[in-house]
Amino acid sequence: MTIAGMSVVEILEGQQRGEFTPEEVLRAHLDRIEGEDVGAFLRLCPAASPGPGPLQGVPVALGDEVCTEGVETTAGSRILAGFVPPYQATLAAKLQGAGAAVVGKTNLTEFGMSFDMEDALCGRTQNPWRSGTTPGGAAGGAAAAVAAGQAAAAVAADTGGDVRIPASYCGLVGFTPTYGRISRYGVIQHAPSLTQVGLLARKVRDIALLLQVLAGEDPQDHTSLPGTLPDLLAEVGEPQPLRIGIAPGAYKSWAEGEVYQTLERLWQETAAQLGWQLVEVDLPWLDLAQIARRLIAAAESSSTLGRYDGVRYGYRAKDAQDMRELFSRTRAEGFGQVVKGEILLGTYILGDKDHYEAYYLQALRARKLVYKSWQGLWQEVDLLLTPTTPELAGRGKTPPEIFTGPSNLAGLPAISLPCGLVDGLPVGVQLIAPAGEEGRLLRAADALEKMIDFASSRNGGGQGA
Amino acid sequence: MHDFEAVIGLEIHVELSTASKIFCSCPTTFGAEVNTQCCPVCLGLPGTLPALNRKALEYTVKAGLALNCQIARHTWFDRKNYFYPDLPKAYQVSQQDAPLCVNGYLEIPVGDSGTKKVGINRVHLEEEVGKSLHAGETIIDAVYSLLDYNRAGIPLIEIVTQPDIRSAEEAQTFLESLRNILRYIEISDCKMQEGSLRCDANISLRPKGSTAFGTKTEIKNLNSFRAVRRALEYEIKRQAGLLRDGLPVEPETRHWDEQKGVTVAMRSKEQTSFYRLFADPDLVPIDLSAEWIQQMERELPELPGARRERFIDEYGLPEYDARVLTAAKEMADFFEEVVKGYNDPKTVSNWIMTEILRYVKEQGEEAEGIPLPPASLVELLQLIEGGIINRNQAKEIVLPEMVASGKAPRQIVKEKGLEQISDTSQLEGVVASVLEANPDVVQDYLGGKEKVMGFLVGQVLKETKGKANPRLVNEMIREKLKQ
Repeated sequence: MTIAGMSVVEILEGQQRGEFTPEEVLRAHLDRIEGEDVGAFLRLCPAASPGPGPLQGVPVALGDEVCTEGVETTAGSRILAGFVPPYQATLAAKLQGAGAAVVGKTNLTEFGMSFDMEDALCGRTQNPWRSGTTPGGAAGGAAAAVAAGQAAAAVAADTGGDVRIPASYCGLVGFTPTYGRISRYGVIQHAPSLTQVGLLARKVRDIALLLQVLAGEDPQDHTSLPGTLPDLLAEVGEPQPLRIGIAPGAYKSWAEGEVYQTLERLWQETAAQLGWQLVEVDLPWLDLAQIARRLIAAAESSSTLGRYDGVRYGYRAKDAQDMRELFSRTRAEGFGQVVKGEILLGTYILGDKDHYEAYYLQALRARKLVYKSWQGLWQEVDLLLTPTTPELAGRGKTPPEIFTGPSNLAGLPAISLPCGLVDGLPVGVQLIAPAGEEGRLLRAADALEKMIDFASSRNGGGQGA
Repeated sequence: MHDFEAVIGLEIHVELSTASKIFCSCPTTFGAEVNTQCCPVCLGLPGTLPALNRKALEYTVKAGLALNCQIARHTWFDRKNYFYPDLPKAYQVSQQDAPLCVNGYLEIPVGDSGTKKVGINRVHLEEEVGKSLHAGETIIDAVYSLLDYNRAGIPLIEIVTQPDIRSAEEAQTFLESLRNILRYIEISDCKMQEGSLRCDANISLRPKGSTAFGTKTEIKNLNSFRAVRRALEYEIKRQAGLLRDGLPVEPETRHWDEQKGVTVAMRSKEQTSFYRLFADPDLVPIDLSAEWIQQMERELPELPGARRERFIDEYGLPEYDARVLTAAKEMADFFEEVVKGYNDPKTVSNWIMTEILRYVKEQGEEAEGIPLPPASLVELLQLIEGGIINRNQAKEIVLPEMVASGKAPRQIVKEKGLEQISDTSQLEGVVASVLEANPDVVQDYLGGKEKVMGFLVGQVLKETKGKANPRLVNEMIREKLKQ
């Protein structure tokens, strides 16, 4: 087995057994980056070096929305071209403190504002499973890097499925913790109320390890969660009898046939062995949640991205004659079409009392409704099981975030695991847990992952396996 | 012809004197070199987040409590969005729908002994913006503009009054009382010339007796208490003139031109924009417990009104003295310190209200405080009581020198050779020669005209260049003429 393509746990165990050194691990991943161009990275971190700690020698990729001190950080936007942060995102500092080697910054759609990786402005990223196919977005580069064995894990922002959708398309584990569990400080965002820092890796246990390092209250993030997590790694591996919610009606109506069938087969085959009791539930609010999430994201974006005005840093329009021209030309020339569209939408819905009432307030009410629906659901089930995406990579007919967005609206932890292949492309299954129940979620995901044994199913399918 | 009544409301911005800024740990010191007190957070660099300074919250709640406000139990911050180069994030974190403090009042003195309650609509917490300096009249026609972000992120409270103020003078009194109370609770230094207290005024006129509101204008650029009063006086005349001529008052923002002493139209009120306000998702809503609010209340020092009452009860001062002394915290503190060392409250009060206050007033309306330590006044009063110097010497020679040089009174008396001659052996000769030189007066005295004693004492003082102790001289003459 080659080093590049190993899971985090395998890398750590291999090092412990003396089979290879942290330097060899880093070299192997850097070689893979050089050898196989999937367009995952926007830039590499030349100073990447492994140190001692619980993640010693683990090569990690960071989405380019994560600020790295001394290394250009653009969030995939021209408007931040050349911006070198004089500060470190809390999560980047924690990774380094734990001995991980940050190998580079990965591609994403501009400010992570589209799930369609084809919208990315800083280069095209391939799905390592099939060249010419999208890896999904917004964190397409991060997923491609891990799937291609160029990093063992990756960290990127998720505001509605940005980590889980590419995880599903690229046959990886994608995870978002409870809102506030991992500090957002230093993560360039567009919609802060929806942003959960997400993790990408090959195995559920890798996620547990990473989360253990990254979780925790941050005095620099007012929304970060106090309290500590239990030893997640020690807890995974003990199967539990759980009530698992499924909504076959909603899944059938939103997901394409083969995706639905893969999921249905999965729960039919595994539930009994896992000691899971399947509970059929109704999710009539999925499209409402999708629209609300979209409006809230646009509204927050129109405000959060106001700071890119050419005055202090980043792109600045040349030869502007006055303040207004400087602002308008900097933003007209610096932002791409998708971002401009979102800012216009957000400005429209916040910029007038009637629009505010009709769209923004309505969206907030819908969000509250969704939140209450989740509360009701947790009375009946311990976890909800859904398809991660309604379609396979590259089909692009249904909003890809239809199943992933609702957990962001309520700040819930969720995880996507690969559960099979259709036409040689991975299909993901998502588990969603109540807020604060990362332990329950990861235990269940770990047990399910063992039942699926995706690694053998993808033999010959993808690269990097 | 109508007789008009002014209806005035004030909007006051006060920078809080917390050690660090509202969302980061940058210092808030005034006058530092430009752009040296900023960091990624207050510059709004990408990905940075606010971390709320708890002190700023405490100070705002204390301001609200001191202004008799109700304190919100559940509150949050909103983003006020607009583009301007001195606004690093293109939004100001402020409070629109859930101000920390509402529905209070401040009692201000009116006339000689009356008081009046001016309603406080709200007190909310927000962040200060940076400072721009334009090479030109406005930012639009400036050749270039310079930006200083030292100020950006200093915690700021906005205090909005009800339209309860009825004259320019009342507006000034309100501001003075407000500044006094905010200094009492030590949440701001309230210096208008440094911009840590700023005021905008809304004003309209209506026929006396009417309860309807007229069309109001807003006056900006009021940089001193005097400017507030003068601008309002001007605006009252201007609006009254328009109304008398049957012309409409335009609802507009007007700029006070200090040099010319006039207000000038800046922009029409209708053009003011909707700020796309919405709750800031980067700051969690705040729930304040009743216990915490009570704790803040307990931490409040004695406020001016209570202190005034205590001065009357405890020191037996007249109402007038008590009011003057408590009108500034520094003055009241000074009084109490001096009384500790010289236990004659009325004498101390007289000295402060006449002599000391004169020096304070010479410093202008933004007096930094009392120009001498309390111990010095104690010493001065003891010198008078001990007969070392007389009152006139104290007022005219020693006190000015104390203020000018900061020297102790005893040292000044020594250096200037002011000690009274209280040694009879030194005065014996002078007294004898004065009696000898004025036989007629001596005869008058012996004949029962006691009044002439003053003349004789005066002659001795004249001979000794005012250094003789008058009481002693008096006794000596009396003794001599008995024989």
